[in-house]
Amino acid sequence: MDHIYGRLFRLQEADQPLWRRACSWVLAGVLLAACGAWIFYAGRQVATAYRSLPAGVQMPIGRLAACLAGLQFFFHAARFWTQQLFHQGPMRDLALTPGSAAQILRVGLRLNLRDARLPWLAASVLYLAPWLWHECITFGVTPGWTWMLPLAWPLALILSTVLVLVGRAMVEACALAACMLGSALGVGGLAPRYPLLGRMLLGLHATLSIGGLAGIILAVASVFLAPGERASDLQRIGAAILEVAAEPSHPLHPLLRWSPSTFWFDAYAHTINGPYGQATFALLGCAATILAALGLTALCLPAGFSAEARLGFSGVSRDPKPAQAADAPTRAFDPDAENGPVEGWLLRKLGRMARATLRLMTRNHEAGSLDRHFLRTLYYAPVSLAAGWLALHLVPGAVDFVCRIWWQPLLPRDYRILGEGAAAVAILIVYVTRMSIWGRLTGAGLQGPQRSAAAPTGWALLAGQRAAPALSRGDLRIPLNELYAVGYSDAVLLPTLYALLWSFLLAGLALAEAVAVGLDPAASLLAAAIVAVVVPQTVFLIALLGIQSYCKNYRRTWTALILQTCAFAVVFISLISGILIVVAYLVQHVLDENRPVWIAYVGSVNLVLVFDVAVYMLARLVYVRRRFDAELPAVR
Amino acid sequence: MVDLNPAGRTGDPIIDVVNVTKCYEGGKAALTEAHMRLHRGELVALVGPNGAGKSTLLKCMAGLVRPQEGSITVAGKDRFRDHLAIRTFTAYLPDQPNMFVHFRGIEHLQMIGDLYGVELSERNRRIESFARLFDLDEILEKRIATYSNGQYKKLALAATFLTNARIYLLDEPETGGIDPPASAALMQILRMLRDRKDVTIVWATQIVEMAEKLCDRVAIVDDGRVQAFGTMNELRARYQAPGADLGRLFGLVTGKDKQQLISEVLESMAHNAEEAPRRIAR
Repeated sequence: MDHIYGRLFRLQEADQPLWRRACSWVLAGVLLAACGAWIFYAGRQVATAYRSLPAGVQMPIGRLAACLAGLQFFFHAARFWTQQLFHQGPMRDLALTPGSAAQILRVGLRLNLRDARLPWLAASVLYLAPWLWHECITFGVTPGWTWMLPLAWPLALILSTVLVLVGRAMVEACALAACMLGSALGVGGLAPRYPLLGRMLLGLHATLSIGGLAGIILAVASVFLAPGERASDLQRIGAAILEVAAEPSHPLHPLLRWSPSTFWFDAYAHTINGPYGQATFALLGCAATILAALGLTALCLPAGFSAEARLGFSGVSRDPKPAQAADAPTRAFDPDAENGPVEGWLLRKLGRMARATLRLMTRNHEAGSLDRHFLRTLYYAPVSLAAGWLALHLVPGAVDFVCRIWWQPLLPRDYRILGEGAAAVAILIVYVTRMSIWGRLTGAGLQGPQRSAAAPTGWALLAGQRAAPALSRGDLRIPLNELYAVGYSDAVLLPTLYALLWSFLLAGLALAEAVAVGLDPAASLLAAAIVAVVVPQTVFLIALLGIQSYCKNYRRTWTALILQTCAFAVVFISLISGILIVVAYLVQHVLDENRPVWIAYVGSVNLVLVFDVAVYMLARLVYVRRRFDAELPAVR
Repeated sequence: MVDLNPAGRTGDPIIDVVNVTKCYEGGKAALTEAHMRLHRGELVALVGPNGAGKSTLLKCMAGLVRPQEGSITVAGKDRFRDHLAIRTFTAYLPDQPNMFVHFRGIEHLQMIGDLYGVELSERNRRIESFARLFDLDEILEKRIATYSNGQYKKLALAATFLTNARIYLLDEPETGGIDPPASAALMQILRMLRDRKDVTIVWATQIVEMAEKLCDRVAIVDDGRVQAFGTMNELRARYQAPGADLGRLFGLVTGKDKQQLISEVLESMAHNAEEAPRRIAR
C-alpha cells in the first residue's frame, strides 16, 4: 500500500452522468441565490432602519457611514494596488526590462478576474438595490411618473449597478493615486524609505475602523436620547460626532462635506428625488474625484513607477537572501538542535514523528519552536492586563448606556458582573488573537516565510496547515499528512494535544491576571476552566475538518464537491448545534435547581467528550473509505 | 535590435565588475571583492557550489541588487546610474522566473516583445519560431497557471531570447524541469549566439561538461569570490593540471574534491545494505 496519502487522492477527474451534473448546477445555483437573498435582505433591513431615523439626521448619519465604508474600501484597495503594482514577483522582474512606466502600468492594470473582486461587486449591487428601490418608489408616486412603479425593481438593480461601479471607480482611482504618490515620495512602492510608516498606517487603519464604527453607533444612539439624558461621556461623544456631521458651521464639517465618500452618498441620495442642484454638485464631485486621482497618478507616474522605485535599491532587507549568505538563526534553547524543554518532553512522550507535526503547527520549523510559542504567550501578559483593566472600567457604563436606549427590559441589575465578564473575555481575547493583530504589525515589513516565522500564532494551530508562500502558482496549501508521513490520528490528535497544553498555560495566565485586576476569583476560575477545554475542543474540530477537507476526491466535479461540502457542513453544524443545545439545557437545569456549578461543568465535558469520540470515529470512517475508494483502481 | 555600441568591436570590454562586495542584511557577505572583466561577444560560464554567490553576481550585473562596494560598468555605462540605457540591450533570466500566471503564454511573449520594442511582425515571427523550438505551440493559448514546471521554464526561456538582447544574463537556464529536446535547443541557441561574436552571455550553470564545451571562458566562484577566471587552457596552466576537465579544476580551485568522500559514502552504503536486512529480521 502506498503511504503517500496526498497522491492517493489526486486521481484524474472522471466524467459524471449528465443528471448528476445538472443536479449539481441547480443546487449550486440555489446556494448562490440563497447567499444573494441574504445580502439583499440585509440591505433591505438596514435601509428600513435608515429610513426610520428622523429626517434631519438621515443625511449626516448616512454620510458618516459612507465615509467609514469608503475608508475601509480605500485601505483595502491601496493594499491591493501596492501588491499588484510593486510587490508581486512578475512586476519586480519587469523592472529589468526597458518598458516605459506607462507600458508597465498597463501590464499591472491587467487584472486577474479573481483579483477583480467580482463577488464583492455583486454583493454590493444586491445590498444597495433595496435602497434604490425605495428612491424609485418615492419618485414613481409623483404625477406623470407612475409608469415607473412596476419597473421599480429592474430600475433599482440597474441604478445600483451604476452606483456601485461609480463608487468602485472612485475608490480604485484614489487608491492607485495614493500608491503612486507614496512611491514618488519614496515612502511607498517596493522599498519604502520608512518601513515604520507602513506599520503605523496599519495601526491607523485599525483605529479608524474600530473608532469609526463606535462613533457611528454612538451618533445613532444620541439621536434617541432625551436632552436630559445626555450625561455620560460616551453620550456626549455621540452627540458631538452627530453635530460635526449635521452642522455646516462646525469647523470640522468641511472635512466630511468634501470627502469623496460624501459626494458618492449625496449622488445616491439626491439624484432621483432631488434637490437636483445638490445631485449635480455631488455627481460633479464624483467625476472630479476620479479625474483628480487619475491626474495625480499620471503626474506621479514617472517618479513613482520608475525602475528605481520598482527595483527597491534602498530596501536591502527585501533582497532575496541565498541560504549560505544568511547566518544561522540563533536558537533560544538548545544550540545542538535537540529541543526546548517542552518540545523535548513531548517528543519523549510521543516519539520523533510528532516533532515535524508539532513544529508545523507553530509555523516555525526551527528547534525549540514550541517552547518559543509558549514563551511568546507570556510576552502579552502586560497587554492583556491592560485590556482587562480597561474592559472592567468601560464595559459597565457602555452596556448601561446601550441597554437604556434599545433594550430597556434587558437592563442588567448588576453592572459589575458584566464588567468582570468583559474583562475576563478581554484578557483571553488578547491571548487568542494576539498575533493576528500584532503579527501583522510586527511582521508587516516581511514577506513569505520570514513573515510566517515572525508571527507564529495560535491561529496556525487552528488551521493545521502551512501558510501559503508569498509567490505561488496554484494552491500550495499543504495538509499535515501530505508533508509528513503522519497518520490520521496524529494529524488530528497531536494538534489537539498541543492546544490542550497551550490552553492550560493560557488559562493559568489569564486566571492570574484576572485575580490581579481584581475580578472575582471563583468566577475567574470557572472561566479559565471553560477556556481550558473550549480551545482544544475547537482545535480538535478544526483539525478534523481540515483533514477531511483535504481528502479531495478529484474524480468528482467541482460542483459535486461543493454540494458534498455543503451537505457535510449542514450535518456538522446540526451536530454542533445539537450538542450546544444539550449543554445549554444542562447548565440551565443545574442553575435552576441551585446545584453546584461544577456539576454542569463536568456534565458538559462528558457530553462533549462522547460527541468528540463519535465524530472522530465517523470522520475516520469517511477518511478511510475515501482512501480505499481512491486506491481501488490502482489495486485492480 | 538596439545598437549597443557602434564603435565597439568583438573583444572590447563590455562588462566590468570591479571589487564588488554585497552583504545581505544580517548575513555574511554573498560577494567579496568580486572582480572580472567580460569582453564583447564571449560566452562566460559561472560555476561554483550552491550558495557561492553566482546568482548574486548575476543579479548585480542585471541591476537587481546593488552592491555595497565596488562598481559595475556595462558598455562603459555605470550599471546603477544609466539603468534605462543598459536594460534596453540586456536580458536577465532569473533562476526562478516570475510570470503573470493569469496571462496566456502568448500574451506573456507578446508583452515581453513589446517592452523590448520588437517590431510587430518580427515579434510574431519570433514567437512562432520559439514556440516551435520549445514545443510550446500547443499550449501558448492556455493560461500560464496551467503550465507544468518545465513548460513554465521553457516559456521564460522563450521570452528571454525573444528580446534579441546583446547581453544575456542567464541563471541556470537548463534547470527547472525542461525536457531533453528543449535542453538541446537551449545549448544550440547558446552555441549559435556565441558564434555570432556580437552577443555576450554570462551563464551560471552547474553542468560543467557543457560549460567546458561551449564557453570561451570560465569563472569559478566560491565563497563569494571569483576564485579563478580564464579559458580552460589558462586555468589548466595556472593550476598545473594539464588535460584536466572543468570538474577536476573546480575541485582544485575550491578545494572541494569529493572523490575520496564519495568512495567513503558508497562503501558505507554497501555495508548498510548488507546489515539492514539482518537488523530488520531481529
